[in-house]
Amino acid sequence: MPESLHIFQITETHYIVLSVILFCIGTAGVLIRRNALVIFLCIEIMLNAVNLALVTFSRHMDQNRGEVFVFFVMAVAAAESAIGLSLLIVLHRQKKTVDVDEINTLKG
Amino acid sequence: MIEYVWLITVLPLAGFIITGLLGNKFGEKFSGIMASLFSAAAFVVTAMIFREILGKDEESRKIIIKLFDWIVAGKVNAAVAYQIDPLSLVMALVVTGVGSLIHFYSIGYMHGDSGSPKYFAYLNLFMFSMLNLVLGSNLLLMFLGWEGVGLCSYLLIGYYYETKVAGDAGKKAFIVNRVGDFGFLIGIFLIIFTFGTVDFSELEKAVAGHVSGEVIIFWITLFLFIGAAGKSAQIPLYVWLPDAMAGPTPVSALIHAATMVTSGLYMLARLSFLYVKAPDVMFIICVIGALTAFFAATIGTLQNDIKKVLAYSTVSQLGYMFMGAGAGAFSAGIFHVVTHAFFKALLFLGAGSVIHALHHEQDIRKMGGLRKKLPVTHFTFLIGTLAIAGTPLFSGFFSKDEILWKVFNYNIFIWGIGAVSAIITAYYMFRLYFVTFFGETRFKEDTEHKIHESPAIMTLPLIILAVLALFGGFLGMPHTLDFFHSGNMIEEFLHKSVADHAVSRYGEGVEVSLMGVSVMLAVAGFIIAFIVFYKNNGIPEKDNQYVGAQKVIFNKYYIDEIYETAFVKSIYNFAKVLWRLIDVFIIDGVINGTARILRDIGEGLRYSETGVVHDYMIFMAGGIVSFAVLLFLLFL
Amino acid sequence: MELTFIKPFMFYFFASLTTGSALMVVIIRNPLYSAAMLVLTFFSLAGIYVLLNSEIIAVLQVFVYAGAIMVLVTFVIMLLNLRSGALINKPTHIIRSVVAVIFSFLLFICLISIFVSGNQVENAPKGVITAAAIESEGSFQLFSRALFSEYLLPFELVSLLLTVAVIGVVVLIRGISGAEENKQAKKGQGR
Repeated sequence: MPESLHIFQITETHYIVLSVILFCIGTAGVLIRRNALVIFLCIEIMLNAVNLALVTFSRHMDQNRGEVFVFFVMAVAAAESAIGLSLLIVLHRQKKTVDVDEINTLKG
Repeated sequence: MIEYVWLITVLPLAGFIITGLLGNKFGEKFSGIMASLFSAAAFVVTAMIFREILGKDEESRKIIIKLFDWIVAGKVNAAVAYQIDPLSLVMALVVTGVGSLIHFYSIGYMHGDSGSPKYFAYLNLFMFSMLNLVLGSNLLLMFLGWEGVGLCSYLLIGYYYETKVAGDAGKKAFIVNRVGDFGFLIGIFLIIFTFGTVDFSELEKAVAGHVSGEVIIFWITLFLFIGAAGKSAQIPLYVWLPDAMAGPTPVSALIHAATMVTSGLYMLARLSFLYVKAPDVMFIICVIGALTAFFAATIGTLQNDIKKVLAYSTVSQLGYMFMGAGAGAFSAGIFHVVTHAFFKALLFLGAGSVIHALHHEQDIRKMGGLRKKLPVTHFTFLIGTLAIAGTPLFSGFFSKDEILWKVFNYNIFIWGIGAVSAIITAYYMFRLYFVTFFGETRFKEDTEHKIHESPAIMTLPLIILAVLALFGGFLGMPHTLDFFHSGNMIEEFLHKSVADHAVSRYGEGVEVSLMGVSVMLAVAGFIIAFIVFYKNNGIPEKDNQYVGAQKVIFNKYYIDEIYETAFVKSIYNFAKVLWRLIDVFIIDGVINGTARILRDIGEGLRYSETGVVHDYMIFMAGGIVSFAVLLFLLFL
Repeated sequence: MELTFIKPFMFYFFASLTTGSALMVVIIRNPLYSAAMLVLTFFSLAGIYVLLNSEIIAVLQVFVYAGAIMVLVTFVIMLLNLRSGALINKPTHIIRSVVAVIFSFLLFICLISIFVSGNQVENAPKGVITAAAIESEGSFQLFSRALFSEYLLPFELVSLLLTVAVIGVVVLIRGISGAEENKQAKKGQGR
């Protein structure tokens, strides 16, 4: 990657930086938010950041493996969201809340 | 036959295993007979090898039979190999011969003792160890035997372990011997360090290139002598031997008189080629030997326990041997080992016979007038007494005289000490003899009719040993008295394997007159004892009646008390400090502290386990971030 | 491509839209608005993918994320009944927020340093799917060829995974209500 970031010359580095920014926003959201649903949304942001990085690398290396991988990530994300959301529903049914701070059954 | 030398050690080992494993099942008689037969078989093998060696010429009498490699470490190669030469054969003959007699004797003596299978097993184990010590062709094998006999000595001293005295005596013997063994080990290490070999033959070659009086040889020989002094009960390490009399009497005869305690001298003789290069150490040995001979003899004059008298007499006689060795007369020392083995074993077995007859009474003040009750014991004991006192034509006369003559040539002052010791020896031995066998009977009335002579299994060894004590001296006739022209057989036999170094400053006339002096000294001792204890029928006084110098001597110069204060107490206090400071404070503190710190950490960390997923996520993110930061710092 | 000169502007437009809407997802209290902002994020990301010459991913992004997943999320929000208040974000402890922001920032710095200064990628072997190849054949065709030849097995496995997920969801939802029904049925029998 080039040492300097030229503003009007969009390189792969720009995409990577965007990907990292998105990832960190997602991380911060996961850590800050108490609502399980929003945490789930933030995880989706992180997944998308990774997808972006994968596509960028794929372009950079003149391959399409990264794109294929993104396709699989999307498929897994779909499965994950189905399961995760249904868990959320079950959780809400049982505890009448989706606030993860109020669920401390892990405490021995 | 020589290639079967391994039988000599394996037979007692087999006896040990058989009696040790099966003894309790088949009983006392079985184990006694088995042990005796195995040891007698070892004697037969030794004797056959001896005959074969006698048939060879002098140059080819040293044969080394290697069985297998034992310790191979770097350039040091210690094999299990047996060295057959005149020196080791003489010792092996004494060990197996006297040992077998004592085995047979023990059958009678230990009759009715519930632990006798164990006793016989130990006795055979002792034979095995002692023969390894004697026959081993390198220092390490010798050390194996050395430690083995130490172990057996400990086990047999503590044989009557129900009594505290026996247990304490066993421990004392073991610990005091350990001091000596420490010196021996350091000597071995120094030898390996200096010469790079432990094999006697190679060592002899290596030493040949060194000049006399080298510093390293001085230290090697000095440390080895400390080992010898421990095992052979020389000043300052003799204190264990009198206490060792707590064991059964045949054990005292075999281990603590005839064989094991002479192994120190054997080691000196075996390494005589090394010692002759260290004249200073030779002088030290000679002086220590003379002092031991003298002090032990004086202590012996006031002891009232029949075995204690003999024990101090043993220490004294060992002192004679070391005196001779120090004067360079190693073969004379070995000669005295042989004769001493005969007459001291005889005396101990005689004492055992008395003790056996009197139902374990050992105090001579409660004996007296036993010569009619125990005729065989009395007669053989008399022969032993005459031999040790140095009566002409008895074995002790020749060997002791040989030593004294060599010492006279070496240093006349040391000879003086030896001569005074000789007179004291004659005195205390006849004192013992008269008090025990003459005068009125002083034992309790009801036991009198029970007293009877020991059975044949006990008296027969006594008679054999008496014969040996009587004629054993003719092995080493001094040439001035050589009426049969047999020559000094033992010295000639040994001179190839022992580096005799004695000087000869005076002529034959002096030697003969010196013999006259010896005879007169013995007679003087006899007369004093005769007047005091036979004519006046004086029995020893009560313990508390001694005053002045007598009191000091009666209390053995307070050596035990001094050791107790100087070493035992200080070590005890040191151990106490270690216990309180190191063990309780530091070690326990560290261990308990570790546990306490972990508990406190856990106590603190308990609150991080909130059960809230979010907190765990924070920790996890913290970990990932730390890892990323670490990577960042390391690689960028 | 004739649009080259406006490409930087388009990138910055989409990039700021993505970042801004992603931030809004985190910041907004109402989860329904969060979800809406996330849809915006997905759409602008699709634009970024187009700029990267990866039309297929852009299309998939819109279909799968914006279409399928977000609809699912909205459904769930409806199911959980927004008005009950259970879904409204409660304020987070201030210390935790600060710690989270610091962590994220540190992570950002580290990742940026690692990616930007990395020279391993520069030396990596190049493939055959160059910009020119995409120009002539189209990214759909190239992608599909790879997916249905080289990656056929993973593709089939993904279909299996999705089936499992569907079954799992049914079990999760039905299983619990089924257990409750069983309980009630047992009670009925006991009566």
